[in-house]
Amino acid sequence: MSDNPAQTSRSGPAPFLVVGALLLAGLLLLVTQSGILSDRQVDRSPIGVQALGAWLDANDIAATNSHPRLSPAVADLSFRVLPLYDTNLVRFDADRDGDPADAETMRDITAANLRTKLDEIPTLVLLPKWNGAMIETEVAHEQSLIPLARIEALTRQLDLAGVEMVRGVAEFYEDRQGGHDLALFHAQVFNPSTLPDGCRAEVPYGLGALVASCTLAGANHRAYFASDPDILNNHGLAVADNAAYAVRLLTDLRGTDANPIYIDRSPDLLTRMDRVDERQEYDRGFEELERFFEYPFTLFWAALLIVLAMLFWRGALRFGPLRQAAGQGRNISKRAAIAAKARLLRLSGNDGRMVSDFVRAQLQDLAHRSFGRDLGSEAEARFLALLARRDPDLARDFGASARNLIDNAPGMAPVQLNRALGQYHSLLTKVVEHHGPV
Amino acid sequence: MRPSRRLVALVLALAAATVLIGVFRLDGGVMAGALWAVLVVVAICDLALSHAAKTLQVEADLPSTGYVGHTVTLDGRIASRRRSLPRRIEIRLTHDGKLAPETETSIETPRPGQAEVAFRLALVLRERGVGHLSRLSLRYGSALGLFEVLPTWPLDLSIEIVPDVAPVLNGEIQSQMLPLLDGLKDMKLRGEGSEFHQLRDFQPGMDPRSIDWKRSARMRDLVARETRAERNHQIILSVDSGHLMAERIGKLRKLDHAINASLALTWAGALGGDNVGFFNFASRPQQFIPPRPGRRAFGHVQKRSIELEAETAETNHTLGLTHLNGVLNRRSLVVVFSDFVDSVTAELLVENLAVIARQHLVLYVVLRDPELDSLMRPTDISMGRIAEAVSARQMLQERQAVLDRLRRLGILCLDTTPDRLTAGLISRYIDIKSQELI
Repeated sequence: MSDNPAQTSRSGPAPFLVVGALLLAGLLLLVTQSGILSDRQVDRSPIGVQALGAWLDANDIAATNSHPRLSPAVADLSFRVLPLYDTNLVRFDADRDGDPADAETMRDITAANLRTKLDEIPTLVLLPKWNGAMIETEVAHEQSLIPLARIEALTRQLDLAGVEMVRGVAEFYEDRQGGHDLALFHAQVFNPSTLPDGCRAEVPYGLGALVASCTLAGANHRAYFASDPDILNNHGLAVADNAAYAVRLLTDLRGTDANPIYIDRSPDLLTRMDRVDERQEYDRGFEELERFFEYPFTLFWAALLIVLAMLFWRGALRFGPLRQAAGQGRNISKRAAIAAKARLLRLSGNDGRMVSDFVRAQLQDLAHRSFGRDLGSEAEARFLALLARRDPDLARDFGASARNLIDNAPGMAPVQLNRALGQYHSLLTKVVEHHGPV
Repeated sequence: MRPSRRLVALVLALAAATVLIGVFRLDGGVMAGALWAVLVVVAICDLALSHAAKTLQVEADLPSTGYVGHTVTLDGRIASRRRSLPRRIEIRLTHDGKLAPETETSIETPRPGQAEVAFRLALVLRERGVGHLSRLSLRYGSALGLFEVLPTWPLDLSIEIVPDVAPVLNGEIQSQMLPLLDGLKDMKLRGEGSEFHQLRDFQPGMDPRSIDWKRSARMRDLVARETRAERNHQIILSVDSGHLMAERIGKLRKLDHAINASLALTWAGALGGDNVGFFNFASRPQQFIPPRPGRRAFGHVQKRSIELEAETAETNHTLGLTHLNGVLNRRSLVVVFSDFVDSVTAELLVENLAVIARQHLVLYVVLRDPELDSLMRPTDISMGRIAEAVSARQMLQERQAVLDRLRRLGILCLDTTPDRLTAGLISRYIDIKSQELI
């Protein structure tokens, strides 16, 4: 028995499920492996710098936030603010497996990339201060602080060997800088006396230096290091006059260059690799086009034109009238209505009940043909009795098969139903042969 | 004339060869040109050897009238001024929707040396009105088969397609009415009707109650009264021409079947001595032809029915049947040819037939689609077929429910297939006459 519609309807949702599962898996993979979510979480946390760009824009200072996929040209930028969330530049992804609250590395960056960033344009590096607990709890607690020893180890990797860090107690320390009250919680400063040669304190803060600048070998600009990231991060900007001071600090540091300040939240470089030999300029003129009309292309075009002309000639002339549109609406409406109803019956998923109804109706039809209408519930029994007088075995088998389908078809599995229907049909064929058409 | 498939294949092969020459030979232009030149020369020779369309003459003739649903023959002749005809000639006709050739393309194969060939094309007359043949197209191949010649000739032949009155003309109706006319039918009522017809000599075997004792005493011999069915009854043929009647069953639309049966009944009514009127309704009541003695009515009904076309609007049974009820002034047999879709849409039809049945005898004629029966009894048992059978059965059951309801209201129903319609209707008319139901 052919059962194509059933197969089609059953296999209907399967492709969508597979595609949906693949899409879900792809999205999960994208989210979990690309670190997009964790990156955004860092930027929005109290230790992130998402607010800085908006704040600078509000003060008419052009600022560009880094984008995961789009990179501006270095020449279009004046100054870079680079928050570091990595305490070890030579170890990759060290803390990802542990408790996020204890993580000291939230965004890995390599020493080579950091050095390149420092070489490109004047850059203010915000040294790390808080660990992952600050992101998770958003509470500035003593236990969320990264130990100073780790930060000092990081300064050694930044060619600031020997510099000492000093950290304040658990309260806000306020100092006035450039007419603004600058307040920092657990203020973290450089010990100015320990700054290496070539470095100098740019912004004093209490007894220490909040921002230091150093000369870079082979570069014509200096690199700046902020000992405490809270002067520019989300939670620090909201404290005292820090925000106003941040504007002034960045304006001073970038100097006269009016290009945007780049808030670099990405560990990647702006230009990954400079391949000057890949781009070639070609001079394209009409000679290039003319080559398509020289031998052997002339042959190809000529053959193509002849073939097209021949096909068009044949297609343009028709033998006899246009064919009428198949099946006018009125003539096929009843057939279409039956087909639509049949399809709805199949889609309702009650094949068993449908078969049961069909077999009962066929039995009644046989009885009507033998005894006339209006027999009621006795029709089936009277017909089987009539059949039994002619062929008892056939009547017994046919009656049992029909009764089985009428009673049990709704609960049968599709394979079982098909088998029972096949048996019923072969018996029905024998009955019809004996008894006349159904 | 257009290129044949053979020429197109040759051109494609030559184009492929040209491309190969262009790819593999540096100076293949001449070679490729030579190949194409050979083809051109062969094509010109082919054209020179072929039969030119100008040398052919075509004549065709079509009968001036035909009955709808019947097949007429287009007789024609193709002659050549040269001594022979092409070996194989295909013929197609351009026609309107009222005609349809039985085969789309007919093929004539003249013998070699035969300069003239006659053809006969069967045309099915599908709709009433004037059918038009506008063009005759021929197709034959050239001598080498590189071209197909497609000459056409304007025909401008028309045929008037009238309702099928063949049963009237060939005596079929008369022979069916003979039992009623000559008393051969086995009457249910004693006396074969209540209207006095004549006196006959009493013969042994005749019903003694038919003896007219008063006249027997006067004639001194036993004479019996012979009665016959009452005459001069009114028969109103009421034909619905709404959109449902435009559905095609078999070759004809339901409306055409109804008109054919109406004309047959008109003729039978004439033979039975009754007066026949005609009424037509669709979205609103249309023409009413008052009852006239049968043979005079036949001409009027025939003339009106030729013009009758199915509307695209739904039938308004209330308006139509109420109007009819208003114009009838004495008890009549109202034969309603109409259709319905399901029990819900038939509500108004049932209500209005019940109203009209209070004063008149109503015979409701509805056509059954044999295709529904075949759908209900599928030969192969697949789930799709069973679903169609169940849905077709539901449709038929709804139909049957409406007819049962009409019967309970005392309305006579004739539910039959188109091929049995005329005979069934006449038979029912004879029954009504013999039972004196009017």
